[in-house]
Amino acid sequence: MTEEFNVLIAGVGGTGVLTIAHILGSSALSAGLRVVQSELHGMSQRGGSVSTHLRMGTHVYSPTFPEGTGDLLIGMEPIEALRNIKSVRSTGAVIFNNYKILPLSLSILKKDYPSLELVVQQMKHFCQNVYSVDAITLAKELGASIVANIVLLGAAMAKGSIPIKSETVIEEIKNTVPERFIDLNVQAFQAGIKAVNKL
Amino acid sequence: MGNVSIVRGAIEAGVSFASTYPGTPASEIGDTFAALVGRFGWPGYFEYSTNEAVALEAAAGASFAGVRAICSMKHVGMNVAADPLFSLAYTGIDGGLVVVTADDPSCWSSQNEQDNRHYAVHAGLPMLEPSSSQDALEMARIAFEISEKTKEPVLLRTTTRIAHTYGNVVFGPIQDRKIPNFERRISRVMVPSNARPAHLRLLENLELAQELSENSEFNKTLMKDSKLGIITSGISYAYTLDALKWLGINASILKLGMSYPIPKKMIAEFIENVDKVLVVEELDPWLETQVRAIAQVNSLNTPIFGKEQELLPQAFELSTKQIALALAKISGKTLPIDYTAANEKFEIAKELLVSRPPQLCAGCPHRASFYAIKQATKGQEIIVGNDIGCYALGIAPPFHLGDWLVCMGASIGIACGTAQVINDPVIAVIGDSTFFHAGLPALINAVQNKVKLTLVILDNLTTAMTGHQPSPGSKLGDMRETAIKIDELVRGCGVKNIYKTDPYKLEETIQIFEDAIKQDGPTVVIARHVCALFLDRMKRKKGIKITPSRVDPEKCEGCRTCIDEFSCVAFVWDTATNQMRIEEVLCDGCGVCISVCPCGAIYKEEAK
Repeated sequence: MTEEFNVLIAGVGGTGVLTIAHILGSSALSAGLRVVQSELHGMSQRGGSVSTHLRMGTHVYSPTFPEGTGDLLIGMEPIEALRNIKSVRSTGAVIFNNYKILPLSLSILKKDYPSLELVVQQMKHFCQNVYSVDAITLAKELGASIVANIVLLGAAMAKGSIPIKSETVIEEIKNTVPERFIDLNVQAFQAGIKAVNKL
Repeated sequence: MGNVSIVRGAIEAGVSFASTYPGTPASEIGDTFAALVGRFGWPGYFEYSTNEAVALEAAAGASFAGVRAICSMKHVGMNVAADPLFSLAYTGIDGGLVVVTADDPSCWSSQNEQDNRHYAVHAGLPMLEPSSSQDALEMARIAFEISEKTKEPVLLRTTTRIAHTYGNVVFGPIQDRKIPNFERRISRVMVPSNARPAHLRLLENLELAQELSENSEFNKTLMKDSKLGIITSGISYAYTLDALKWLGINASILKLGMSYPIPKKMIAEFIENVDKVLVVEELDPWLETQVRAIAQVNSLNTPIFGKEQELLPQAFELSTKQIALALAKISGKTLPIDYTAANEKFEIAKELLVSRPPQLCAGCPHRASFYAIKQATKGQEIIVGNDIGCYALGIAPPFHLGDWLVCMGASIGIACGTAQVINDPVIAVIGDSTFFHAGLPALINAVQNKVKLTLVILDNLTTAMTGHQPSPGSKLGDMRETAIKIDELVRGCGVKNIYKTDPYKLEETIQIFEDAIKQDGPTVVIARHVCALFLDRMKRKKGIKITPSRVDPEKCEGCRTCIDEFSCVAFVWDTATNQMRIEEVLCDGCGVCISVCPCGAIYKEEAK
């Protein structure tokens, strides 16, 4: 059994970071692993940068892990993924949603958002396995941009070496989302898997 | 989640009564009890109290009536509850009384990072500190027994990384709730003649607590290599385990779960059996000082390391890395990762990182109120006291409304002093829930002393920051049956000038602020509009579509009035066209920006 598998999920408050952390955490529990997942609430949640550490395995104790020991970084937004790039080890993987959410501070300063090429190039200084996913477009094709996080979760399952079976995660998605949205979310998950397998 | 585990532990202990005032990171304790009552028909009693002092008093009242009670609050809430807390240590309790204090090292969502372990010593109360969700469950359960054995309230002290961390837990059986029985007892009446013997009684109870601590299942010694012994508690224990594994060190550990009264014999024995000791704890050297005292009393010369040698910091959260660094220093090992190299590699990336601080949500009525205050006071020097809640974000650009932010209610209290000394208009802004919590006495003070201040009550009908708990002024949420009318309350306090407005109606609101600031004596403006985040979530649940506002590129002249003066998070400045657009994923469709735009370029699809 996996001794330690460290995931960091980063994004902008309100974009579904905690939802996928909960789905992945519950899946790990179902898979019989020890799980520790830490999150922040309150002031830190209002539209700013958010991140959550999720650890699974037989030997995980603390709620966060040191930089450079992460196995997987899931970024719900390019800049937020880059902000946390030091968390992941060189042999780990980065899966990020390439849809840019422009921070207001950019607009106030009349500055441009850095190009995706530059962002990916910087990420690769830390980790070679970087996957850029057009999660919003895929989610919109399914009819709801709100499931972009589930698309990304699918992509992470395909390329992130997560020590859980996809079927277990699909079961957890079904347990988590309201009944009428189950099909949409399962489709989003599978669209994510397909999208990165094509890359 | 640690908070939910605490509730489970309390339920297993047969708790009958729970009270709280919401505050991060304690909020989910109350919210879980609320859900138990509202959705699952739990037969116990739960309330969101007006403030922490009232919450603790109510819980003590239930305890006096013979049932088990739990009261939860964030660390600074303990300051509010401290008055009853200290004297409850004298009166003693009947049904087990557990007081949860959730500390917030690193101030993730707080105005300070005070270390509430000091309260255990200061008030003289037994204290438990969980290191995991499982600990949280078991300690919450056992805390009631300790409370009844010692006849004292018991503190259960968590930190953010315990309260908001999910982990595996194993449930235990649920005990029956106690049958209420109020025993009349003069020893609860703290007049001086009763208070003196009560202090002696407390000291006796603490002696019993000392014995319980020496034999507690939560205080464990794990002897391995005797070269190094680590004494730790709470979340620091978890970080320590990971740090030892990371560095491959096989040290002995003394884990303190019942950390007050500290098990003196157990600690002396541990110190004696190892070559050197490292004390690992977050914030103040609270354990370390006691460990040093125990070594001195027992004439032990074992070297003790910790904050005294600056091996560990006294501010902010600890981490596996920080503990590993301390361990590396005293054991001569090195960390497996070269962080200097990693930081150098990150230099270029750092340049690309635009900061993304927390923001008022799209559609937030507070933004409209702040915009109106700024418009109404253009060209004037004003002094503004801010308060605890989402609206604290009004201190950020472009509003800069906040010359102080101290504690619940201090917007008004401090304004009372400033306005008596300075001639510039003094404004205090406070949310509805915070006003009920601690603003009311300060407002009465302002009336009594004829303070010339404008109090703006930002009434969004809920306690938004902590997760939309009900506020006394609103029927929102599933528990309240009555709503206290803020305007009537304020009038009852003797305020003569009272204005009411909906901040979404910008022009009217700006006019009201212009008038209000000119008034003599305390003036109150109640700016009432329901929290946008609350409303958006309701809409999403019910499947109601949100129609975002849009910008007509034909009409937008790129004047930037909207971005520079209103600064909604959904605004995007397009550097290619020098025009503004609205990010539809973020827009909540409130439409307030339509009246901010001087070009008439913002519209809503349905209205076109």
